[in-house]
Amino acid sequence: MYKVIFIFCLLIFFNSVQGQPKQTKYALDSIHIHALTDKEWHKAYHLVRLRDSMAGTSTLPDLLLQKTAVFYKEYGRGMIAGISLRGTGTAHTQIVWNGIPVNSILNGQTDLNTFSPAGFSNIYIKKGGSSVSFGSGAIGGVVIFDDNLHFSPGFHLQNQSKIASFETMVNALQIENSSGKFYVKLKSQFQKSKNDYPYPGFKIKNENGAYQGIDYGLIAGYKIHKNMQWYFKSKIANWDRETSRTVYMPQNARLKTNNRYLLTGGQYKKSKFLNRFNAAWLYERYRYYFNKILPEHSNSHGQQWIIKNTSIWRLAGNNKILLGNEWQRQIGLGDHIQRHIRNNYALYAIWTKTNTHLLTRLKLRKDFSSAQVIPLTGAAEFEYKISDKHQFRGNFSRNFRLPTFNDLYWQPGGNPDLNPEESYAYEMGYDAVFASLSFHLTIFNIKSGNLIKWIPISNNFWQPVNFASVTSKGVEVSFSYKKSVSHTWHLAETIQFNYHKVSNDNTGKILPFMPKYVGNNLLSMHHKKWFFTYHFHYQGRIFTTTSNTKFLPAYQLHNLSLTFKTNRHWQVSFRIKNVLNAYYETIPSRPLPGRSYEFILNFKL
Amino acid sequence: MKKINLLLLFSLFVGLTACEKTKIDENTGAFDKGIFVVNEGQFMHGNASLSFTDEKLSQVENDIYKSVNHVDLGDQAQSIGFAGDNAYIVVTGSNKIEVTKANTMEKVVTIASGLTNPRYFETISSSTALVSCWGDPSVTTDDYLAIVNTNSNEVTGQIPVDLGPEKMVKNTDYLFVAHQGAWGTNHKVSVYDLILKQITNVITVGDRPNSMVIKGNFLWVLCGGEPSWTGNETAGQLYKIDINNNFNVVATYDFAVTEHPKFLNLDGDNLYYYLNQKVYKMPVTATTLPTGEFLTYSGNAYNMETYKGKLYITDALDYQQEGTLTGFDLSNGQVIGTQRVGLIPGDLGFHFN
Repeated sequence: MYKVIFIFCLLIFFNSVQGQPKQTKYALDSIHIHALTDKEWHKAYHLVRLRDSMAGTSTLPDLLLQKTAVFYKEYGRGMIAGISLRGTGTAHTQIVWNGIPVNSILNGQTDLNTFSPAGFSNIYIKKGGSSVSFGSGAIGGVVIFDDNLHFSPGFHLQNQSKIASFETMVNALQIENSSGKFYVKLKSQFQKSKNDYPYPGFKIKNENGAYQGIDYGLIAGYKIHKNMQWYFKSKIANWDRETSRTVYMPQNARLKTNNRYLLTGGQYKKSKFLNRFNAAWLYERYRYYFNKILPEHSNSHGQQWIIKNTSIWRLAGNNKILLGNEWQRQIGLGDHIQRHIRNNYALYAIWTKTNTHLLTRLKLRKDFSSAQVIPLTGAAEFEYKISDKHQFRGNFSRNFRLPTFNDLYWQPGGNPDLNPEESYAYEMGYDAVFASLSFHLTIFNIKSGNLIKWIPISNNFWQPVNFASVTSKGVEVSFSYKKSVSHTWHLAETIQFNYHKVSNDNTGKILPFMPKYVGNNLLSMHHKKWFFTYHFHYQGRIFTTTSNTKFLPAYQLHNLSLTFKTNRHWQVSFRIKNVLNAYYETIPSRPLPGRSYEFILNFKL
Repeated sequence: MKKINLLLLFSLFVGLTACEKTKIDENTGAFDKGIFVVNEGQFMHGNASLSFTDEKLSQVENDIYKSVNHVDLGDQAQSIGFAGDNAYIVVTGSNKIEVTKANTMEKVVTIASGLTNPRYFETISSSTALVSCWGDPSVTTDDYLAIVNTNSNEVTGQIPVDLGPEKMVKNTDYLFVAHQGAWGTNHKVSVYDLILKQITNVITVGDRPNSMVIKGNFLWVLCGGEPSWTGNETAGQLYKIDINNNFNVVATYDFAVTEHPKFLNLDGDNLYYYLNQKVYKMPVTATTLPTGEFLTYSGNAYNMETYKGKLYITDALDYQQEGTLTGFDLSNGQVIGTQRVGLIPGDLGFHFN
């Protein structure tokens, strides 16, 4: 059955390619690159923009899975989730919220299910090392979330409500108003689910999987004069989740998490100079109840104060220079961690030269930390345009990740003598972009050393050590094709495919919990007021042992959605996820749901 | 051309998954004489398994429970015990005991009710066995021994005990339960009177009693002591207790504060224990701890047991791959064989009917 659907999809794509006339219009993908904004500084990398009109009620894993071929892991629907880019670990993808890296100082990750993607102006995924710009943890890549300020006067309101299987309700509300000088946006997403999905093939349900969460934020901006603006941005997320059982082990636990991100800053911009100042406070709290009906729980907190300043000069001869410095004060505390403070300071410089065909860039960053010696990081990058349709790009970078507070201070086991992880990454890419067809190819290699891993020291005592050296190499390919079959019929197709081989340099074995192949296909059709999408996701088999003897089988997901736009205010969608009711796990013994349904009502003013 | 190749490549992967293989070994054989290895499996990964090998470790058969019964064993298999013709596989994480025919591994029944974090199984009569259970490990007051009727294979009652019951040994009159302390720590041995059918004494011993043997009228209890990571390190201790004289402690042998021995075993008139990659041999008549080791083990023992002149050590390696079982001859300390078994091999069940 799935083969029929897939072949159908392939045929459409194949036929369309045959009939494709040569077009000359140049349109480098859909990413808008404004002068002197942060985006421009990501050239020489392949940036993918994640945009979905239904993002309001989506979870971040849903959105990432639909738009990119990333490997993701989830401890059951709605539970702790992370992604892995280019064969690195979940703590090697940095989540960047309005320019501030927000991964937990306690565990090094951002739980994607507690980070709502609702209401952002832009979401990008950038693969490749980015430590110079984003510091610790930006090894496999970064996911960038931006709330932009819109000073053109107007009022916008959008409300999305979703009802889905397993007694799931989601509501996302977003209100925006601008007077020309003053901009304000309020956004919220509320989710609640009983989440008692049956484990396909077993006579059990996810009986301890209910969750509830709210994520809201206020964005405000004031244009002091034409060159200067002030802003305040925030994101607050409170989650209360039971923790799903495995197939063979019941659970009775519950996890409450709180994340608060507050940011204020200002921007001064002249024709040849821009300065941006940010001050941020990030707070995280985890409360784990081993037995949800008892009050006893374990507690951990993390806090970060960040001050960051970036200045950019546009110089003669198409030269640009960026100077940045950043100060972080990190405080960790909990039942298993005594109060510890770590101060980090970073100084970085980026130089870019652009001419007609060639962009070259050099980056250098030095970090100072009260707890560790951090190596000098840097990058060299280029982008060469052969013509307006073809270009090559490449980069080489050295990146790092600091040990987390848990790695350093967790009792028992924490090891304060850990060194930062280090990686050398290089990649080469080719982009071909025509009016209706685009093709991107990237070949990469990441060599990481001093990787931190918790290993058994004796029977019941584990300790993190700088353990392994790992090489990850691979290829990423993506095709996009758009065609208007007639005035009323439009088609778009994107196929992405990743191959990565991640091996332990000492043993030569493939690292467990890392697939070799990930594929993604998104076909959309638009006819008058109807929108149809077919999404296919493939994840290759994953070894679960370091000896490469046991594995989770590969799986495929097929999702369908149909949207009808009644008028410019109302829109209804119906989605079927996992149409073929496939059994799949991303972590052993933790099945994800079979076929499920979603109904979404969207109102826009 | 490039595009077409890629499409083909992509569709190939779709084809690949359609023919996933499941390996099932039909040649299960009989398990009447040999050693069962209980492979704990990774925490919450549901990949516990059973291996079977002969006493000389000349060959091994892995994953035998699944081969015979075509279902997974569960999460964190802790131990194996025997009663009548049946084997009782205690699966801690899944809160159950899988009852199988010992000679064929064919499943008889699952005991799923009345067991919360069961640990070890010990028969006390032809129809009764006791199973040490932690209860909810976040609660320190709900630990118990489950009473299992081995004819009906049901839990018929509970005997409340002190925190963290673990290993059990018995003679004709008493069953002794070591309280290592589950998630916490404890320093007690409970005495269950097999005739009165109740706990009659609680003996205070050193911190974290981890293993026991009985030789004649004496119970030997090896206490690991508090490890350094607790911040309150205490020395390991070996206790000698007179069973017939009111359970008086007749001797204690103290290790250095940084020494945390484990896996006390008996073979003939000698005690064997493990400490920092070394196996020590101590005659039951000795008045002091041995100074030199009997043999050195190159890995990290996850469990060690003696059986009829042989000593077996399991090794979990990195806990993310199949571990090993190595046998030694106690007459000369030489290796008799080694086999690759399952993930995190622990308890051994010696079955020679």
